[in-house]
Amino acid sequence: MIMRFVDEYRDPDLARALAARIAALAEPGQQYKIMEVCGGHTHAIYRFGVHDFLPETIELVHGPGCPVCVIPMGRVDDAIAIAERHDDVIMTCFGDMMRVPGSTGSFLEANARGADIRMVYSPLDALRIARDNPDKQVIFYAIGFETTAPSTALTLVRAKREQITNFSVFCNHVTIIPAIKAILDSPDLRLDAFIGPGHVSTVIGCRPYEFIPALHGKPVVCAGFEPLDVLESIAWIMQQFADGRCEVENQYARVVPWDGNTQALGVMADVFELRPHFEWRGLGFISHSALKLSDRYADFDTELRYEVPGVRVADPKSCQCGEVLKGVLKPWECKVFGTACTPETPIGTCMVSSEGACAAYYNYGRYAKKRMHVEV
Amino acid sequence: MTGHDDTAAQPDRGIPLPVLGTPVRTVDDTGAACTIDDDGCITCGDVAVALTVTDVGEYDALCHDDTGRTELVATELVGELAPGDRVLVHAKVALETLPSHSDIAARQIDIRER
Repeated sequence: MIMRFVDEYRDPDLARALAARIAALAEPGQQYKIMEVCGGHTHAIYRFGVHDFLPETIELVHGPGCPVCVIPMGRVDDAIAIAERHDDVIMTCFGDMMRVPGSTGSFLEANARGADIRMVYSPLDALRIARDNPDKQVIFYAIGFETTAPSTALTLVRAKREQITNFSVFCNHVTIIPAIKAILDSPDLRLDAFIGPGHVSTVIGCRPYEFIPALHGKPVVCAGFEPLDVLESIAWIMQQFADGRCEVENQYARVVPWDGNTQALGVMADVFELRPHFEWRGLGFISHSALKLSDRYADFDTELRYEVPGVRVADPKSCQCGEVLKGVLKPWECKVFGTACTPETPIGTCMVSSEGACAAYYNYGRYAKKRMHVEV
Repeated sequence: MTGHDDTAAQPDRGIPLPVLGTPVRTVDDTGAACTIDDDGCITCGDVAVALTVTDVGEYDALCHDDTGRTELVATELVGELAPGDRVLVHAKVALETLPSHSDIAARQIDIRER
């Protein structure tokens, strides 16, 4: 069966043509380090073997764009504490969040101990559970970047409009720009360009990235998630280098408006406000990098409705997710990769989500340093 | 992907109840759904899927993907919709209206010619 919008962007002949163009644009002897910010791109790159179409001189560095990977253990512990201390609480969250290890286990393990923690596909599903269970308190454990935050915001608007009082949100939404700034300020990292997130940019648009070429001299190309999207984005970056240009370009224009979705941004501005700071796993505390509910929605804020332990938990010493998230280490360079830490028994969050860099390497057989190359 | 749902979706108001015998899943050759032991999660993957509007209500629209699977989608974050419009959906919320199929085909030709 032909999948429109999918097959068009998986054409092997076009992929070879783009790979040849990239190879021709690469200066001999010059090394290029390009970070794909988004976990979805990491997943696509390894699933489709995009890496193997690139010259050895182009290295793809995997960024912090997997929301599960950046959740610190303490925030998992906080949610488990609420779910286990209150018999009337139904905690809800997205699927990958269920396996993220906290210091007292994961949501799945808390479920096994008797807590009621359920997987949902949308915060709107959590709201429906609240409607269906008026004698319970339903909490949505919100994670995600600006792609997902509008869904949470819209759900809260509906909860308020419908006066549903047994629903609240434990907000862990983060924002992409401060994380990129933190990476750019990291002294142990050298990057030449960024592949910008696709669907995040649908919401925020391309303008927020303009500081990267302007202040840091590095090109950004917002990219789609099909293999041809990623290859074409790399070709555009290489073309910028060849032309001596440095700017933001939008390869994913079939989906991403340059100015984003102003309606969604308006709803988010009403429902959320920036936290002064928020802890990112591996990156530490980053100022103004996460969202909390605004005063207008304080009645729906889990952190105001319940006593939250707020315990800070250090990551396991053997885990090097922080270095992986910053692109300093490749996943296979971590001491526990593929041995003590696997998708079945993850130690670090990068191994939990299939979009995490470690899980992507593990699941697609990237155990070894040596790369196979496709003849183009 | 908008994910498999165990219960029939309920429109807030305005449109008839859809028959949702078949869950919407990603238009992805793995057929992967958002599960705890399968192939990904919509938020981690920054996943969104293009759906076509079938019927429009006040706050929601019934939509289908290219395989004919249907889902009820919140539409308050996009402008007015009509049957046949295409939307980008994440977590059962429409984030953007999309160009038509013919525009996408033109884009494909553009890649080939560059």
